[in-house]
Amino acid sequence: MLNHKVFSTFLILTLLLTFSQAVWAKDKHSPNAKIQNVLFAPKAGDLFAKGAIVVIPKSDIQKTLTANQKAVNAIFPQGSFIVRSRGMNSGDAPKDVSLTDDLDDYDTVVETPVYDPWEKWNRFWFRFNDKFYLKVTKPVYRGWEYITPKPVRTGLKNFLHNTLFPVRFINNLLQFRFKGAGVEFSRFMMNTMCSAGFADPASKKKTIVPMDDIGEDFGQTLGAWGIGHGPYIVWPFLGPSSLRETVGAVGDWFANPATYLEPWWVSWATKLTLRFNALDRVLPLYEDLTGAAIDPYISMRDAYINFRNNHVKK
Amino acid sequence: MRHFKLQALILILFFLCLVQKAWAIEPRQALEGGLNQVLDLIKSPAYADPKTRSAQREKIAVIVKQNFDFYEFSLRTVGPKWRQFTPAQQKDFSEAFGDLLINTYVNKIDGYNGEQISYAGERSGKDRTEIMTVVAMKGGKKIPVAYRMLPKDGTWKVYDVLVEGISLVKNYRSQFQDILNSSTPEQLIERIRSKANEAKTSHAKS
Repeated sequence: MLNHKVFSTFLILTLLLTFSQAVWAKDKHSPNAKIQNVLFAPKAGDLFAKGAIVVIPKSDIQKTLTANQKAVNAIFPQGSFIVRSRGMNSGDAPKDVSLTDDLDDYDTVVETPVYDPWEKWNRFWFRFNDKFYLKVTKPVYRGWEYITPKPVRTGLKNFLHNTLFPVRFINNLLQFRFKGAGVEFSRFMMNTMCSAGFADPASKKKTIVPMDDIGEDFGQTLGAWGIGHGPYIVWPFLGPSSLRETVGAVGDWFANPATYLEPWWVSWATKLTLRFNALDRVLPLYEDLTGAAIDPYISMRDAYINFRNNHVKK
Repeated sequence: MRHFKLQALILILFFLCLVQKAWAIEPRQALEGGLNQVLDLIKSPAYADPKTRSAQREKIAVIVKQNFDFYEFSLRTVGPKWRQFTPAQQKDFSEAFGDLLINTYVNKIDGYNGEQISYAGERSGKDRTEIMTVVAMKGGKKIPVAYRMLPKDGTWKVYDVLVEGISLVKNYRSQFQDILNSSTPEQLIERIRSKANEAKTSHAKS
């Protein structure tokens, strides 16, 4: 009889524990955890300027929330809001969680649209470049792929990467990434000595610091110094850029050893051939991006600016 | 006998609770399951054969729809203006947008090329999880792909994909906001539909 009682008590306790855990897990994942206060904002721009803090009682959170939302929507038709909540873990610091409308995920940072005062000019050259890439560059590149074996193309690509070593080295230094500069230097020495730069055995070595896979350049250095993009610019043939990246590209131009080849046309032909050869991944990427877009111009602009911003951070 | 019945009842309840716990799938498991199913379909010989490829693509689309929530994708890409859409418009939009993504991305896969997907970590918010993966291409190039997921319908569903740190949702959001400044929701839905059809016919040709 005693055994039975012990057994039942054990089962009931386990049952309760499992159940409470399930509840806890549910609450942890559900947005209506204990909500402390709600911050409403009429528009993204003046999120904090006009925001009001509303304190909601612990009980009936969901109802209160919807009621408040309705009230706020009546005042601000396009209002977006952030809910500040504290989870069931009482030790947790309050975290910002976006809620109900789910317009944003966990990043509550307001995104500013890309500054594009020359959109008309840009759109014109974007259309021009698009035609040029797809009707001229792409077929010519297919021909190039036909006449050159893959190892030749890969070799030339590695060679180009290796000759651009000064750009990466200088910009690592300018961003005070001394270890990164060291990695670039040893990679350059290794690849140059092994193969004059036509192979890239150094890329298989583990580095002492995480390296940005595209390498540092002047545009990223300016970004790292806190300089913003400025207006977005689309250049004929060269494609998307910004004022900052254009200035950066001029810097890269001076740091590129091929610039100093004589006579001038050898310099230009070398650069053009090497750049053209390295398009193997760019063309399909371009087609993927613009092919899936409803407005390819905006898609490209957004992707370009985000891509550059991500690399400034890396 | 009464005691026995009570105990039996408690036992049954106990096991029911255990079963319920087992139902709670981890986001990573849900994603892995979906990705593996898609990979298996792409790797299969039926995919390499052009005759049976379209049937395989249909199967992939079904799995994608099970794991990706296009409604959640849609409301995030439209942004604050989603509330001005009627429920019917919201439904049409989600369907058209889902078709567009499937036709342009999923059907773009020509076949299995030795790509390897590996798990690279995850981070979680309150009810959101980001699963980071790395796709290793045959040439040695590694592309970071992250999936943002939320709990829905007893499992976890993807609501955003980030390739090289670029969010699909954010990229479309900037496009749609621009378009919705000068067009109606109906016009936008129509544009998405025609783009999805365009992508579909270009696949049929290749």
